[in-house]
Amino acid sequence: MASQRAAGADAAAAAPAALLCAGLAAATALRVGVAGGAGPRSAPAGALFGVALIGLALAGGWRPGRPSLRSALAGAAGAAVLLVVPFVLHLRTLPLQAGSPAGDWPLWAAVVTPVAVAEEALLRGALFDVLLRRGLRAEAVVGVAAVAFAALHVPLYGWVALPLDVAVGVWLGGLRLQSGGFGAPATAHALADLASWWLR
Amino acid sequence: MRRVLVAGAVLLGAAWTLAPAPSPPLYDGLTGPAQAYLYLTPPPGYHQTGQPAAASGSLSISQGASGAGFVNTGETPPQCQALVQEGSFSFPGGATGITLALTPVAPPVPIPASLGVLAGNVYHVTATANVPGAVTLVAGKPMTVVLRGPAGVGNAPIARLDEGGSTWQRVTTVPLGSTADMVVTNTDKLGYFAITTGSKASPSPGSGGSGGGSGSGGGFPVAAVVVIVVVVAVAGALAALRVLSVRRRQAPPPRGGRRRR
Repeated sequence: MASQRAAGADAAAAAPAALLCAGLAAATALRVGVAGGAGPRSAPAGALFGVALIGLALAGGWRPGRPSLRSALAGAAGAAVLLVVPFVLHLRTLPLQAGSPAGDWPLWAAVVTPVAVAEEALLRGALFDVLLRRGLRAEAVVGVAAVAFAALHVPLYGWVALPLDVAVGVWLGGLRLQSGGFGAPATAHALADLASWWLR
Repeated sequence: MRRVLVAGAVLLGAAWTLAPAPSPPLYDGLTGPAQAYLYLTPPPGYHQTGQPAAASGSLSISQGASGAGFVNTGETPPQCQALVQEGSFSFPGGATGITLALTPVAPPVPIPASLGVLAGNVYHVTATANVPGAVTLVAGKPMTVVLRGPAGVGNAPIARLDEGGSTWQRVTTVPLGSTADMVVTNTDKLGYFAITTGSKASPSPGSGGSGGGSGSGGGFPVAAVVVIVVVVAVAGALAALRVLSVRRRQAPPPRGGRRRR
């Protein structure tokens, strides 16, 4: 009886994490479906995806804390690390151009930033909190969030992006642990994404 | 906790080392929108503002070798780019410079059906020295040609018609990283380059091409509605779980006093 109750409690504790992952998968499917052939270029699909993630994160118990200068600085430093290699590659590799019209930057940035923040709210916010509360080791939590982060990008960017996105997920998870909140990884993620406009 | 950051940094370095060049995806976000494709001869129903650009650039010759350089057309991203490394060209004696040019042209020879249908423009890639005489590519030092096709072309192959030749042929083509509709080939011959597809690309009338990609094309998909319902249901279940968990925590402790009496 007691073991049945314990198993039931375990299942109940695991449910929010499983639901968050299922929600993430559904939101990704929604983004891919709405984007169609436009893929990662579709701003409406990106915006819808961001809204879905924020909704899931809020339902999962995540609440935006008060922004702090400390986490913003930690996030900026985190973004600098993320951008070192792309910047060097940008300077050294063939000057192939795959960029976008400059006039589209404001709209693009207005979609990219919330999407990055929404991903962090769900992964390094809600999912992180749920798994830590469940008693999972911090390193394992970082790993789960990193794998989920990488997996959600596969339908849009292909398997080729998987190793890099896992690595980025671990780095952002490290920032989350180090800073104690979701602000630092969200700042780092958003800045790195915004920089991609010039570094592609 | 610091070791997680260190692990992340090490993994980042390793992943970047293994990432395939030349244009690996960055971390996330949306790829910026592309300028609508500009056709030399727009298909029926396709409205565009402006004409596809031609481009040219000079390569200097020093110590008997042509310099490295690149040229790209003015669209964003460019519809045609060409890059050469140092010593790529052989040129007539006395030359001090080479002009590398990209020009959208009508196909000088029809593309055979076996290679597919032309998608976008044919680009004539030429190199001319500042003195009379032929300029050709040196074996083992190929030129890189990048073409962007109309939206939805994907990783369609490039076909080439050699300068002075009469037959189009397919050349080895690779996608430009994760960038949509851009493909690359390394060529040892100058000439005409074009993207070909298995079937005719059908741009949406009046849309002016790709733009930001506003959807999947043919009406709002039922699958998207189903997925929205799933997302909402999951969010609802999460919220319900939270409410239950809060209520459980707020419930009064079991009354054990009576039993003790």
